[in-house]
Amino acid sequence: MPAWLIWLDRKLPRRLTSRITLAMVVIVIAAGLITTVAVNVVLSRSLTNELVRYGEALTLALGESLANALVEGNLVTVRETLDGAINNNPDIVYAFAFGPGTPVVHTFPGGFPADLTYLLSAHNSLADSGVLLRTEQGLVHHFVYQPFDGLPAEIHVGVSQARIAVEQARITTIVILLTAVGCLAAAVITYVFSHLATRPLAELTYRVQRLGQGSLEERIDLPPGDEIGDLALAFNQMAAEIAQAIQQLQTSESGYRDLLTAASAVGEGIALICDDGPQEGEFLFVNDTFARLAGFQPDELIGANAATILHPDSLENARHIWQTIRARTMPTISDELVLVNRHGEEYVLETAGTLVDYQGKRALAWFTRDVTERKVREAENARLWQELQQKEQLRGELLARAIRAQEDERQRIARELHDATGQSLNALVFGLNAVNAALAKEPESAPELIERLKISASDTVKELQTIIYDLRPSLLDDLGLIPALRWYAQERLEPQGVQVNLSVSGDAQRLPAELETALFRIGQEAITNISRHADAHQVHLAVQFAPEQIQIMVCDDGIGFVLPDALNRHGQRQGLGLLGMQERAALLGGQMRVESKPGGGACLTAVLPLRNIS
Amino acid sequence: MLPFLLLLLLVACQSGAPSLSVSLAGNLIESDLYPAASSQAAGWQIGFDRRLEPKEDVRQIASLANWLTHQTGLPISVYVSHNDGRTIVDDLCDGDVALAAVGTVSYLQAHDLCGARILVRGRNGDGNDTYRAAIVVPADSPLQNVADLRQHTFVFGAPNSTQGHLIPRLMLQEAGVALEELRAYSFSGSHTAAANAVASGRYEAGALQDTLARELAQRGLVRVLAYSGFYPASGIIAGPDVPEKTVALIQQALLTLDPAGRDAAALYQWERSEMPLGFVLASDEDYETLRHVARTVGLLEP
Repeated sequence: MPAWLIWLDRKLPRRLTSRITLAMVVIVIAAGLITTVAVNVVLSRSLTNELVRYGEALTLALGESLANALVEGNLVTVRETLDGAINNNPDIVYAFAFGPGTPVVHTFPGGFPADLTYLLSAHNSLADSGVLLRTEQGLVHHFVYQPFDGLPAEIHVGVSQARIAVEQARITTIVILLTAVGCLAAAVITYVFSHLATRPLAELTYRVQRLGQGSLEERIDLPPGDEIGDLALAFNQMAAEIAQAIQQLQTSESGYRDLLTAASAVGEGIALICDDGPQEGEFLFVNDTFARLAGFQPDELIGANAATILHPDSLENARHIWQTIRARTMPTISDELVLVNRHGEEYVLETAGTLVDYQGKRALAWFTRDVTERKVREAENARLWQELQQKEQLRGELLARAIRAQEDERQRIARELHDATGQSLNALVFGLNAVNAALAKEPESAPELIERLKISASDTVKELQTIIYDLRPSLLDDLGLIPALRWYAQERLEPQGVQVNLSVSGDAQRLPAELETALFRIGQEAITNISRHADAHQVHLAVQFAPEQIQIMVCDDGIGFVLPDALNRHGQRQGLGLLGMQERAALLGGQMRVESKPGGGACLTAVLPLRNIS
Repeated sequence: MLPFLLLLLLVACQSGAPSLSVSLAGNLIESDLYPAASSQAAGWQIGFDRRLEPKEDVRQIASLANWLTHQTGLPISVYVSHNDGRTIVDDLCDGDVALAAVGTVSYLQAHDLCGARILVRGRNGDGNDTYRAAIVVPADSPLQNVADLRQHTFVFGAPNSTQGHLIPRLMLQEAGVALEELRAYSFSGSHTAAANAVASGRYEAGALQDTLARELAQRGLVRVLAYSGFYPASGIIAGPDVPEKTVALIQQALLTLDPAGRDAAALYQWERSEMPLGFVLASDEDYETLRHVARTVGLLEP
C-alpha cells in the first residue's frame, strides 16, 4: 500500500460509520465544487456567448436603426437613438456612432474617452470585431457594426459583463448552498444508512467477540441475500465448525490429559519443549513427576531451557536425538540421558520423544522414566553374575581338585599300603615261611623268629592305624571336635616345633556329625596350610560355642600372605584350600573370613549357624 | 488539494478571454471627434437619387461602385450627400460627384443645368429598359380611378422622382385632376415613405414606382388604382467634367453588368433597384417626352 494511503488511514477516524459519512461529505463537497466550477464555466461561456449574440444583435439593430440617420447626417436622431438604447438596456455601458463626414456621437456625459479612439476603424482594425475591455466599471464587451461597406460609418456599443459576474455569483451561491444542504443531507443520510448497514456489522462484531470469549453457541440471525447476510451465514458456519473442532479438540485434549495422567501415574515424566521461535529449547509444560525428578516445582521449570538440567555429557546425545526427531526419520526415538537435578544428584532417564503441536507452537513431547535404580540393580546383578561365574569356575576346579585329591589319596594309600603295609605283610609271610622251615629244620630258632614276627606284625598294625587316622580320625567320631582338633594339631605341628594352644569357650557340646566334620575339615585345612606354608612358631586354636552359632578361629604368627593373591591362586593348593573352606562354611549357611598380611601371620575365622542343624 | 485545483481551474476559465485595459472616465475629448478627415474617399464619386431608405440606397450604389472599381480599375466610391438642401443635381453640376444613379427628373435637371450625360439606362424585371409609375390606394379604398382622386389626399415620393412625382403628375394631368383639386398633397421623400403613408391610411392615395406597387398589391397592403405608360427608365449619368475616356470605360463596364447572373453576388439587393437586369445604352433623345412634361410641371428651369 502506498505511503500516502497509510498516512491517510492513520489520520481518518477508525469507525466505519464516520469514515463512510466523511467520505460521502467529501464526495458531495467535491461534486459541489466540480458542479460549481462546471456550472460557472458553462454559465460563463453560455452567458458570454449570449452576451456576444445579444451585443451583436443589439449593435446590429442599433446600427440598422442609425444607418439612415448617419447617412443623412442627422446627428440629433443619432444621439437620441443612442440615448434611448442605453436607457432601455441597463447592460449597455456606452454607445457611440459616426457616419460619413459626421463627428462621433456618443453617450459619454463628460466627453469621449481618448482610449476608445483606438477602437475606431480609422485607427484600429480591432473595431471590426468585438473585444473585451477592462474598465473602471468592470469588464465591458465592446461591439462594433459597420452598416456600409466602404463607407466610414460605425456604431459602437459597450455591453457590461457585470451581469455575467452577478449571475455567476448567484449561481455559485446557489450551488454552494445546495452543496452545503447536500453535505448535510448526505451526512445525515449516510450516517443513517451506514448505521443501518453497520448495525449488522456491530452485531456481527459482538457475536465474534462473544465467540472469541468462548461462547461457541453464538449465532447471528440476519436475513441472507446481501453481503452481511452472507457474512452472517458464513459466521454461523464458522462458529459451528469451530464448536465442532473445539469439541473434537476437547475430546482429544481430554484423551491427551488422560494419557498424561496415566503416564504420570506410572511414573512417566513428561515435558513439552518448544521447538521453534525464540522460545526454542524452553519448557512449555512439565508434569509433576518430571518436575519432582528435576527437583523443581512445575512452574519453576516453565520457560527454563532444557539444557540446564541435563548432564553435560548428555547434551550432545540430546541434540542428536532432537535433530533425528525433527528430521522425521523416526516418529519417536528412545535413548538414555543423564539428568542433574537442582541438588546435583544424577538420574539416568530413559527417554522417548515426538513432535506435537501445543498452544499453537511446535513442541517436543519428551517422555522420561527414571531408571537409576534399575541401572544400579543391573550393575549389581552384573557384578554378582560375574562373581557367580567365578565361583562356578572355582567350584568346578574344586570338584576336579577333589577328584584329583581323592585319586591322590587313593594313590597315597595304595602306595603306603604297598610300600609299608604290603612290605611288612610280605616280610610276615617270609617270616612265617622261615618259621615253618625252622620248625622243620631248626625248631629252637622258631620262637625267636616268631618274636620278630610279632614285632613286625605290631608295626604293621601301627602303620595301618596311621593310614586310617589320616583318612578320618576316630577321635572325631568317638570324642568329638575338640579332642580331634587338639590331636591333629599336635600330630602335625608339634613334630615341626610349633607350639599349639587350644582354647574353648562357651557351652562346649557335641555337635551334629555334619557340623563337626565341616569344622574339623576347616581346622584340618588351616593346620595343614600352616604346617606347609606358614613357618609359624605358635598356633592358637579357639573354639567358641554360642546358642545360635559356633565359631572356630585358627591364628598363627607365620609369614602371612596377601589374601587376594592367595585366593587367585586357583591352580595352587593354598588357593583351592581357602575356597574349599569357604564352600564348606557356605554349604552349612556359615561364613568364613581370612585376615592376613605379609609378615603379620594369618588368622582364619569360621562361623556356622546352629539353628538349621538337626 | 482538490478544491484548490478546482479554484485554479475556475479562475483560469474566468480569465481566459483576452482584454484591453481602457479608461472610460479619464482622458476625455470634449470637442467633436471626426474619425475620418473627409467622409468622401479620393477618386471618382458616384451619387444617387434617393429611392428607398437612405441606407439601402447607399448599400446598393456602394456595391455598384465596388463592382465598377473592380471592373474598370478606377477608384470609384459612393457619395453620400447630407440632407442639407443640396440635391444630387447640385453635387453633380458642382463637380462633387462624377457619376450618379438617378431618375429621369434628375437627369433632365442635370442635363438642363450643366450638360450632364446619360451613359446607360436600366432594364426592369421584365427586361424592358422602360418603367412606369402607379397610383395606389388603400386596399379597402372605394376609389376606382384617377379621376376619383379629387378632394382626396395624395402623397408623392420625392419631388424630383420620376416615378414618384413626374410620371404621376402626368397621370393626374391626363386624368384631368389638378393639384388644386386634391384635398391635400405632400411629398414623402421616397417610394417607401409614400407606400407607408398610403398603406397606413394616412393618405387616401399615393404615387409609387410600378414594381413596388405591384409587390405591395400582391401582399394586400395597397390596391393599384392605375398604372402609367412606359417611359425610359432611370440610368447612370456622368458630370460634365468627367473625361470622355473615363465615361466610355465606365459606360462599357456598365453595359456588361449581369445582376441576375454572374455579378449577383457582388451587388447588394440589386433586384430591388430600378435596373434589376442591368443596363442598356441610352441617349438624351430618349427623354424628350418626359423632358417636356418636366418642364411643364416646373421641374426644369424655363
